[in-house]
Amino acid sequence: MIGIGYRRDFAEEFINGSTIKPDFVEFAPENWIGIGGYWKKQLNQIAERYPIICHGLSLSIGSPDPLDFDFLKQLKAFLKEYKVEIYSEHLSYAKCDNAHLYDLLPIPFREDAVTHIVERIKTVQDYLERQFVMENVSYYTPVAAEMDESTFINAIVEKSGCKLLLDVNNVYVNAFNHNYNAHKFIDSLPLDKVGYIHMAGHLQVADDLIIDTHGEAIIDPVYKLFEYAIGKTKPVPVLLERDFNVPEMDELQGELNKLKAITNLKWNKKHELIA
Amino acid sequence: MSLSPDTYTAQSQLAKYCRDGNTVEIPGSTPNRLHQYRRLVFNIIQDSFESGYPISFKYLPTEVWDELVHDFFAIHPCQNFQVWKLPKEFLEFVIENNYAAKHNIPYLKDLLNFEWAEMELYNMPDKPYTIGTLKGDIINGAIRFNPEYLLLPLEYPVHIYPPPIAEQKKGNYFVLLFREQETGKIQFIDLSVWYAFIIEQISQNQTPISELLQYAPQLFGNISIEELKKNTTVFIQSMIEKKFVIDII
Repeated sequence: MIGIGYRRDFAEEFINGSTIKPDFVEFAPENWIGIGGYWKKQLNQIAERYPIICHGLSLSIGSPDPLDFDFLKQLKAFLKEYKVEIYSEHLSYAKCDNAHLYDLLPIPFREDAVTHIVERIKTVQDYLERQFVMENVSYYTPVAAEMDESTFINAIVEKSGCKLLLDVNNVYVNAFNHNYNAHKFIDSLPLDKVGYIHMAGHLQVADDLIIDTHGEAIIDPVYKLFEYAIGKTKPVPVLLERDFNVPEMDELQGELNKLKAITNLKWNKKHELIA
Repeated sequence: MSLSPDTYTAQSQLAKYCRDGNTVEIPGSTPNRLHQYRRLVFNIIQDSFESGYPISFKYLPTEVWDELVHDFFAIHPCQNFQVWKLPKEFLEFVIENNYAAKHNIPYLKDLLNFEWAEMELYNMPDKPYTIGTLKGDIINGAIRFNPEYLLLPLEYPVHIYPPPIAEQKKGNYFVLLFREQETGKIQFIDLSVWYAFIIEQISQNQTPISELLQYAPQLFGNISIEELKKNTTVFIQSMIEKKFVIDII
């Protein structure tokens, strides 16, 4: 299954267009919880046409602040209303000292942070009555780190029982920004726990810095890394993220087709060998 | 919380830096990279208010707008997990801290309230209703309104004029905003004090217009009740056409 992020910028295309044909759509529940009127109708039409995956923004699993159970209550009802099978979030924090920040800040890679996050993931999974999926995020600087990113991710996935959302572009971005080998990093992850994959474009803003913008087409090295990664995972849903600088629909469909071709090649071939 | 003080401090320092932009040193961080987080976070805040308050953004002096946005995010701990609701917190912050007086922008409160009302109404959860037979008598019957509406009292007519002109026309104004059921679009209607009064009374107390007409002399002094009854009937008929009045029983 190859899906795409649902954006209001090109919402009409999903309903009335004939160019874009994703297998599923993904959106952030925070952008839709409690919404009525025109956009509620649009969302309901989307939900009738496509399977839905939700990718959250404000759970803030790595926050020092307490979990927001009022938010979780609304989230649980929303996931139920739209029959959402996969709910994923970011291994980051977006709230601190009782203030939301609306973006993904890097968590210190430290043992106490692992313990803290594992407790919170278990609490959230129990409350939502579902296993959820945590994404490796892009980060532009480590913060007070005492271990490497891979050790941090492995510990959290292993101890919490959550699945991993492997964001291949984030691996590429981080490898570039922090000067490590992306393929070796992929190898070091708990690939048997991958439940969902994200792909996106990015923007190089300096000789030594890439920003994860979701505003450009996927570049070939990221496709190559994707091909490498999915050769080591079981088949899972794959998402194309495109949040800004949205091109013509046939261009987006071209990216979806390319992702599908790669997954067909890798996953069907593996399936045939097993058979 | 199982976090060590050091871990918490690092997270808190980064969060604070994103909010106020004051340079900070965080252990183990790459100095020339931290500012990316301030930039990315603050962009989201700026975008939220520029799109939520397009008229205010256009007409307020740039240095005033920048000060409001900076102060808001640095001082106010944002409470809502939904970024689209953040403009409401901004509005409350600007009013509570009396920036209108500080910068001599008397219409600021009205303008922010008006712009937020449109966004709030456009996005608000559905309040399901059906349009009735409308067979009752306008003057004596029980009138029902589209429940997806807001009635705003304003001192400055920012719903009619651009801010520099509205500023010269201080008075008592009322604007009715309601959401069209089929399209979700927001309709704006400038109301006189009488029509604002009857909408409020009918909505809160289901009082028939015949009873409300008795209050007209108190509100307007020497006035022809018959003339007012006739005009009110025409007004309600126009509200039926606009589908703001959804039933008369």
